[in-house]
Amino acid sequence: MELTKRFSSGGQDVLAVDRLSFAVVPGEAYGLLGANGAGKTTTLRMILGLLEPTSGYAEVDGFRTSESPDEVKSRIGMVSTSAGLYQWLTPRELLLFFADVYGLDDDTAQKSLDRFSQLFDLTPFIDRRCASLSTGQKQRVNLARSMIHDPPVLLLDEPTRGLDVVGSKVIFDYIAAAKKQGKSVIVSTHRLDEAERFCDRFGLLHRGRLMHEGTLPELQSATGCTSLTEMFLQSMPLCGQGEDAA
Amino acid sequence: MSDQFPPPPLPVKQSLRAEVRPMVRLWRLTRKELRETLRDRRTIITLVLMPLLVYPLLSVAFRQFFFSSSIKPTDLEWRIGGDSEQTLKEFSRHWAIGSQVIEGIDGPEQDPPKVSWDTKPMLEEAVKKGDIDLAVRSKVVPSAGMPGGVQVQYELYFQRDSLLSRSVANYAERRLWAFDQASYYDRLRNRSQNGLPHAVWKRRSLAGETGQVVSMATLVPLILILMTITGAVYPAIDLTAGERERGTLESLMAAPLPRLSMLMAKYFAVLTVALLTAGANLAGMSITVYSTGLGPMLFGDKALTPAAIIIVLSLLILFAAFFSALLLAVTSFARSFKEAQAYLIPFMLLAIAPGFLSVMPGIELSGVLAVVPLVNMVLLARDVLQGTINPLLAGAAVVSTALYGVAALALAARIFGSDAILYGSQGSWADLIRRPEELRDQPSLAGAALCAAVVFALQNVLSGLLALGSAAMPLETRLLLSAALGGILYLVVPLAIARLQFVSLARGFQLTPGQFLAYLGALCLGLSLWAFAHEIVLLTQHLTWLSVDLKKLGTGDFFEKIKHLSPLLLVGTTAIAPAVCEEWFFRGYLLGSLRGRLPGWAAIAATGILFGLFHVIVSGGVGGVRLLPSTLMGLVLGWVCWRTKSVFPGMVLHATHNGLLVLIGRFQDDLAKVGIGVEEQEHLPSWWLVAAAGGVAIGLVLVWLGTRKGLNRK
Repeated sequence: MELTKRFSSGGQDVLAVDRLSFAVVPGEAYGLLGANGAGKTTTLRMILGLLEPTSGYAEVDGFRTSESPDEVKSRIGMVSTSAGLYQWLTPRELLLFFADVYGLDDDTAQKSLDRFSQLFDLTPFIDRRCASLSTGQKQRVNLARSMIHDPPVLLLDEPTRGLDVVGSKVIFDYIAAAKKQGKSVIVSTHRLDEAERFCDRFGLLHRGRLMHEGTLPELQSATGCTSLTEMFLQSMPLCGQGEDAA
Repeated sequence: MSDQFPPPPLPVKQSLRAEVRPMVRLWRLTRKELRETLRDRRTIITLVLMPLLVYPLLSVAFRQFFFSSSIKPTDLEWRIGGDSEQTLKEFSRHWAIGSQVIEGIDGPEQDPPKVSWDTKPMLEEAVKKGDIDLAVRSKVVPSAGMPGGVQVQYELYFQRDSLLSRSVANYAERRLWAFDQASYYDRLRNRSQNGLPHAVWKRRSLAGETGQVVSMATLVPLILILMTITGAVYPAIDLTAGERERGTLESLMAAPLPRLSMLMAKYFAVLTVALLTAGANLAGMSITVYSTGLGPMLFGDKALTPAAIIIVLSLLILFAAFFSALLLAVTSFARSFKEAQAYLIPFMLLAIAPGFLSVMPGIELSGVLAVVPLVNMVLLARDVLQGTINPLLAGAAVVSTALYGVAALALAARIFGSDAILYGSQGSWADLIRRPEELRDQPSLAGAALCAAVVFALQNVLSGLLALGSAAMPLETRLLLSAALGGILYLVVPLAIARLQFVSLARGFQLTPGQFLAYLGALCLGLSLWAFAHEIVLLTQHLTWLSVDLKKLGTGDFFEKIKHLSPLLLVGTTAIAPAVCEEWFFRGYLLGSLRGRLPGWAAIAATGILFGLFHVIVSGGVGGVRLLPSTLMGLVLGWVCWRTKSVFPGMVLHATHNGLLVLIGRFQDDLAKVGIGVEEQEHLPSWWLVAAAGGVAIGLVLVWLGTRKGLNRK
């Protein structure tokens, strides 16, 4: 609620996120849309507790990030484009390590590993060093890593970047399945066409401020535009001038 | 891709945050870090290949050096000095006879040395300065049955650091031995009844002052330490800046793990690699030294014993623990591998430069050098290898290094994973020194460790500067400056750090009023404890590792000079000021930071020992005798503060104790006139000690009575 983040850059005070408030209910996919520098990634990082908000707070499943960071982190699975893999570990070692970090017992961890290996088709390379994997394979391992503890909340930051059509489909299918399971999903993406397909509601961010929020019909009615791309271009005329802060 | 979609969900609540013991979690994190690090070929190259290559290569260089050095001596003129013409005449005669005997066995000498003979008034000094290569003193002792009825006893002085001097001594010794053999057989032939040798001698090695020779025994630990550093550098960068750059740090930070656990896991991984490197290097060096026979040449008479290797390994472990923490602190600042390298290059040069200074001859492990990082470990390792270790200075070196390590780790904990580092564009460096939003009741352990390290380092620098500048100053000025220095170190520095950490002044420094009975008890203790401090000083003089000439401490001179000073000035500068400042820091700040985090006895012992060590360091290492009484005082003061939860009764105790001692010194003559007095190096009369014991007992009981729980509740 009222999440705000200011930081200094080159001696200047930059407002990355400006009093941002939104809520996502279980079983809902929320699309956080915006140009580079709109504050999408910064928002996701504040929700997870990786960045401390200048003011305001984020709450997950009744736990505030600032007060119970570990409770919040254990309930979130974060897929980030900037997240890497441990080069010298195999996907199996890496996934079991993170299962352990999230407090899964050995038996549950093994079951979870088997399940996600099957789901993301990791089996052919599960015992190869991560350094030798292709971009798509790495992204799939990364997805499995962030979901290994089966969190009730998913934060996806550009989840399909670097993936081919087949790889992207796996993500969309998983998001759809996660919604059915009652998980809350927040997706930050540039790919508005894809967002339209699987998000229930949208928040259009521009320079840290929430310009529009609602379901697609609500947004269409509010803006008079038919597609998200149109709305995006209409509501953000200065797109491109505010360079990425996230 | 799988068609089995969606999979059955796991029971969410069940899989959330299973309780894991902190040590188990730390072990699992460390295991992952080590697995990642040790699989990296670059680590293995540093760890294994470097020692395999470096030491054999160095041994070749050393052997070449010694070989070329051993050829040279005979090309040079050998300068031999004697205490008299008669000594030189007799010595050269024995030398010549010995040479003839050896030539009889070995054949004619190929390259006989050119020797100049001269008498010198200050023989040992001449050897030390390198004016002569060998000094000879002789004594003629009557001995029945000897030729002429006398035995000639020589003392041969040489410089142990100088290859030439050692060569001349060895050459002379062999000739004297040969002369004795010849003389012995002559006497046997003459059926002499006396089988004693005609000439006997003793070798006396002297440390050189010429500054021409680099000590090889110092070079070896320096190389070991540098190699250990080399081993730690790569994993330190890779596990911090490298991870940040690859994006794996973010995944880790997103997990429900305490940031300190992550840092400690990385620290243990870096430390393990550093220790493996140190072990590999020590093994490589030991094998090389043994297999090439370089040991005696490098370490002189003291060979590389297993005990010395174990002690050096322990020092390397300590140093690695300190330097790994320091490296993590520096590399945690960096946002990329490249940036970390840019930080480390000047940092390493800065760190290593003093290490090279320590190789210079004439540099000893002294009071100040004992607390200079890296230098202290190099010099201590050298002393271990040479068998000339001073336990007191060794203790100071070990404790200071450990303290710096804890401070570096505290700094790393503050930096690691902060917004400014994790997301360079979204945080500023100012975030790192930003004050907490809530007022704290006590300093953090990290803050306390940092403060202790800062005070420890500043203590040496400032007291060194004071000592340099104070020689020409009047005593009054020196006392005032010393009190001011104490104020800066023990009062201002902790206060500044506490303010930075937003620590409550009253609670953080334990500035509560305290109980009346406790003040009374503290007064009794202050009036009585000095007697035991005096006795401990006298008793510990007999311990070899603490022994020191009291004159070096200058206590006699000091008491003589203060006889003309104002008692008010004396009490103000040597009793009240130190009592207030030292209690403020040691009990108020440090002990306060340990309250609730350590058991009472452990917190009191830790600060008491630190208090004792600080007093040794203040005296430049010669005040070893102060260690036990100061530590004892520290323990009593700690106990009083712990019981009273106030720093003020301790200040009363401390000021009374110091004031009484200095006033006894000030009015020594007047006291002697009325029959009260004792010599500085004499034990106190028994009844004084009994009275003092009574005073201590009453003091302890009063403090205890004043701090009973029931009383506190009232």
